[in-house]
Amino acid sequence: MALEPAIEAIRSSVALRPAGELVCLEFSGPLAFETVDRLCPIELYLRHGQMQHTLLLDDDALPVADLYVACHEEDFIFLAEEREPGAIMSHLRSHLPAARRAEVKDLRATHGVIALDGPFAWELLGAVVGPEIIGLPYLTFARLDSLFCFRGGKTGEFGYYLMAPLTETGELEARLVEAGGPFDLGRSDLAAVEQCSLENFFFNIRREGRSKATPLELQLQWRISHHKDFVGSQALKKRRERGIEHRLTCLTSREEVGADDPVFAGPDLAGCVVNAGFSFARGEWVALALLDLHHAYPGLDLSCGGEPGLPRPVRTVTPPVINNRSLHVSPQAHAYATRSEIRFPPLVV
Amino acid sequence: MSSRNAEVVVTGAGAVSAIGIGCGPLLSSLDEGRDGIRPITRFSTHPFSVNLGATVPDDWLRGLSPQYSSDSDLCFDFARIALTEALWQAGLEGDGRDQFKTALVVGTSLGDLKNQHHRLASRLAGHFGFKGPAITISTACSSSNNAIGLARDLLDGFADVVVAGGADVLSLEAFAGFHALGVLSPAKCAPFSRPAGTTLGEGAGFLVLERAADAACRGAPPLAAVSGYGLSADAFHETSPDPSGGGVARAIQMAILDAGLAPGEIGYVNAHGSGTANNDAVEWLALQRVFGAGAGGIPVSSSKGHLGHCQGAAGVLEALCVLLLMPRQSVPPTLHHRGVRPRCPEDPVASDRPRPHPYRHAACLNSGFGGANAALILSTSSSPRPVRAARPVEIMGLGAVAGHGLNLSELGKAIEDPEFDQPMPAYEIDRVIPNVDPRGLDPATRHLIAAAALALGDAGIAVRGPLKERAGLVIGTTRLSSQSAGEFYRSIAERGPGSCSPLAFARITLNAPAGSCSKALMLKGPTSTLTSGPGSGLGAVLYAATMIANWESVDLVLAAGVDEADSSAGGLTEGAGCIALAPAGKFPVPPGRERAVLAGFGIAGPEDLSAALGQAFAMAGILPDSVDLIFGSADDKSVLEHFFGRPSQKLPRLSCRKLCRGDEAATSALDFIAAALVIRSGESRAALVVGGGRPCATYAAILTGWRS
Amino acid sequence: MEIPLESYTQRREELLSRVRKILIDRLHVRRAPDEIDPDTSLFLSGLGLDSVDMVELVIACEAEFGVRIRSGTAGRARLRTLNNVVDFVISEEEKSRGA
Repeated sequence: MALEPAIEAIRSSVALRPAGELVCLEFSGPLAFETVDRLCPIELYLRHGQMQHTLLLDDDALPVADLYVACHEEDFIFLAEEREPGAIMSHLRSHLPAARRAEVKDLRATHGVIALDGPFAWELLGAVVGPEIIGLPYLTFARLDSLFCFRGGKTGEFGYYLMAPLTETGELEARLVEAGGPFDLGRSDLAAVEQCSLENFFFNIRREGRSKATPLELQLQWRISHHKDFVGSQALKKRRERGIEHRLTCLTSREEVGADDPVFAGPDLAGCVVNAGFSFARGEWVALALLDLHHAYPGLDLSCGGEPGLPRPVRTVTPPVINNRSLHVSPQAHAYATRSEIRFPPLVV
Repeated sequence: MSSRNAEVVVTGAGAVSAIGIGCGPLLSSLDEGRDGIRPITRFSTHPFSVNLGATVPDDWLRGLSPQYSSDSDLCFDFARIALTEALWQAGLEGDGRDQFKTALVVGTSLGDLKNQHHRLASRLAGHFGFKGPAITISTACSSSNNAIGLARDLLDGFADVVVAGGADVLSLEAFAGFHALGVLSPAKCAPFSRPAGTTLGEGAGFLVLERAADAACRGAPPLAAVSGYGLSADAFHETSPDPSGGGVARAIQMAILDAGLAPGEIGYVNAHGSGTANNDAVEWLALQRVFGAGAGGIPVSSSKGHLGHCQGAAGVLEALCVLLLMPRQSVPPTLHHRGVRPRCPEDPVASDRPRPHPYRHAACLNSGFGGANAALILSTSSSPRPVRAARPVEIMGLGAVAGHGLNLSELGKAIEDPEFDQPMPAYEIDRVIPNVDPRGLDPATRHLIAAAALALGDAGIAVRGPLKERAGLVIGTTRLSSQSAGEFYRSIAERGPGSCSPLAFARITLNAPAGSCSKALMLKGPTSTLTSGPGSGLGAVLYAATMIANWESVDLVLAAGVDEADSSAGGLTEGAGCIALAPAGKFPVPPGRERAVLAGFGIAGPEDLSAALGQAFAMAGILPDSVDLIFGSADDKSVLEHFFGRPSQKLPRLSCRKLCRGDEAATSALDFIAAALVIRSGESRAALVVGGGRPCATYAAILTGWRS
Repeated sequence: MEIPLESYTQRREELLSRVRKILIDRLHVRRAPDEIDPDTSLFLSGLGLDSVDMVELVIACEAEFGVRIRSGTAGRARLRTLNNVVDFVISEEEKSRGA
């Protein structure tokens, strides 16, 4: 799939894709809360209909999965992206003794997920499933008959995960496509979403998530709690006491940045790139690097090099590096058809 | 238990507003398309980006009333003038009637800004010689709608005439707060149109309500009928409405059901229509939910273009706009409509003149901070109501946080210990109710949530599934949280009114704790917050009981009294007591416990304990002899002695005053809890709880065991 | 860089800690200062502040740093992370120095 039109749709109208990367699990039974609470590294303040964005960590406090937890009456639903295929189930098996565990159902056997992203995703969705969805707050979900509509998204635009029985996903997609004409609905894929996530400093479990960094280095402390026991809390505590040596920092560059390139401050090694991609919006490369604490600040001129003698200048910046149009779209007041009336600032910061 | 069978009519109305003092001038302004929005002169608007407000011009007032010097006098004056007109129109001024049967219900958002919300009502009652109960409803912008609804309830056996309405002032504090929240429009409020935003207003309105039969008896022509009302909680956010429109829809549906009507019979809707993008869109969604495809055919207008947003007085003044035009079969328009804003009503009656329109029933809606929604059904005439028997009210669960700690068994011991003298011990809210986000909860809210969670736990009831929308919350309290009020006033002192704290402003309505509690516990049914000074907790319990008795769409109501200590003002009273009430037999009861019901209750004037007792015993259908124990306190013990026909020292009298270190709102709720404990342990067959007294209202409740 | 790295980063750290204090004291964010990472999103994701919180943040930052955020600058679109706030304060300082 051509990346640029997909990203264009995500950034300016709405794009649709099957969210095959999502692992969907349901925890039910009397031990549901206790089980989920033991697994999740954050205090769960969840009422029915609410979601929290957190992680699953292994015993070394390294991320195993990027996780949304949703509370549905007494049940809990995980919508997760795993570090490698099978990681979550294997994690559950090794950390949950069967006797003291909730019933866990893999919803992928019965359900499919379609993702919508874009500043007018809410409007297309409202046109297809009903206007009540339009005001759905971030990190909440609504149940409309057999359809679960989760509001999340990792691009910095309005984002929704639509979970429907497998027998109905085809029809749902058809209805979205049919209604999508007036919205310039585009098709996207995981690669397009990952580029948008990079531009918006949304954690990617498959890239920086594989860099052997803990939430402390990855600037993900908001997703965890230091006052709770969970899988990995001991290792995290030790790392916190020792202090981190690197922090995830955003960079831009006119020249290509490679996914594992070293980063230099003058002649000295400052760190290593963990995620990189070309930003069509900015016309330059955007990257994330784990830099030593002296250099983990925006506004510094560094360099990165794959080969000695050919350093390429890079600059550390404050993410997000895009002025997302979604910030300026109000579902109560705007519409795609009259978007020319909205005064968007320039897309590039 | 009395039932909601009486037809209720309006026999008098009075108004003070930015478009006229008096119903006549108000109607002329409606007819001539005049709005009351003008540059504010009462205080400097220099720090703000907006200078418009719908103020009552000073020279109008000076013509009518003595020199006023402060907002508190202004609030009282508005109310006094409106009330005077209402009584005069009803033909009741200087009447020789039994003033003990005349009640007053005042809706106000910020009241006199002295943090004594109940004093406005007690002052008014004193001024007019009303000797019945004087109750204040404070649910921010839905206060007076709710007040009119409560007036309906009081006419069912507690009063013969109820004067109901509201008053609020466009104070600097209110203006600063609304401004900080970013909801004020730079232009005149244009509901459903552009620009989005509201304009703050002020004023007062009162309706005289009587049973239709009584009005006919004394030859008082009815202006309209109040056919029903409904309440609901968004349980969503302090200042933003539930975006699905579900909350507002529930209130409307409840009101229509209460009136015994079908949605198709509503011919006109007077919306809250504040003009903010959020509110208007949500209201339209709600109307579509309630009226379905027919929603587009119903004229929906907002009177805030004329009146501004009158806060606690909005409900009654907007209802008045309907009442004045309904006899002529026309509806008020929406002013300043300069073009359609998406997601707003299809027919907003965009015009500057009233539109002729045939209709029998109108729905009047208001929504307030804290997610409190109220809907009223006004009809051209009253109609006979299907007889509905009141449902007996069972006491399902009890929860209390006070000097005794959190444990009910400790409460029983403490109340009997004459030496007891302990302040409330510290507790962790997470221990009481896991997974509630403690961010930004002030102590009053924490105590309330803790007591409510304990009550639900004690009842063994989990609020989930469909129960969420059928479970309500009523709070009685006397003061704002001093922590939140302090934060707000400090922000003004430190940063100036142009930079006051919006977070703190959202918490200085009396119903803020109720809003947070309903969100934490998912209580989306009817909600209200009242105050009547001391005894407010018991007042809340009795209001909750009328909801259970009369509303089929309600399965559970939590009723609580809450106090937060405020050492700076010398107020050490602290505690919360919560009681879970349900229709008798609806829920199972944990084993080893006798079922306990609220067999009867009374609501009477501040110096009318004997009437409260009489009502309670009549409703319970038992003799005073049956009572084993009396809980609570009474201003005048001799009344009790007289009532029981013997020195009442013979009957043990116990009070929870020591547990709360005072007697404001929570104590009377704890007294009720203590009484319920002895009934369900089987220790006592019947217990009486008395509370309140001066300056507002006296309450009496009789608890007995229940055999189904 | 015109100024030495260390004084630049020190200045940023000082400003970051002042913003953290506002979040904790005024906005009741229940985190220790070192738990609030500099690129954590403030609104929606991250700390999950809502629109009323953002108004409070803007007002508090104006008072704390002596800057004017509200007129013309959409606060929410500008102040997305702690680093954004610090960037804004530093750039305002430079503007007024240059003026």
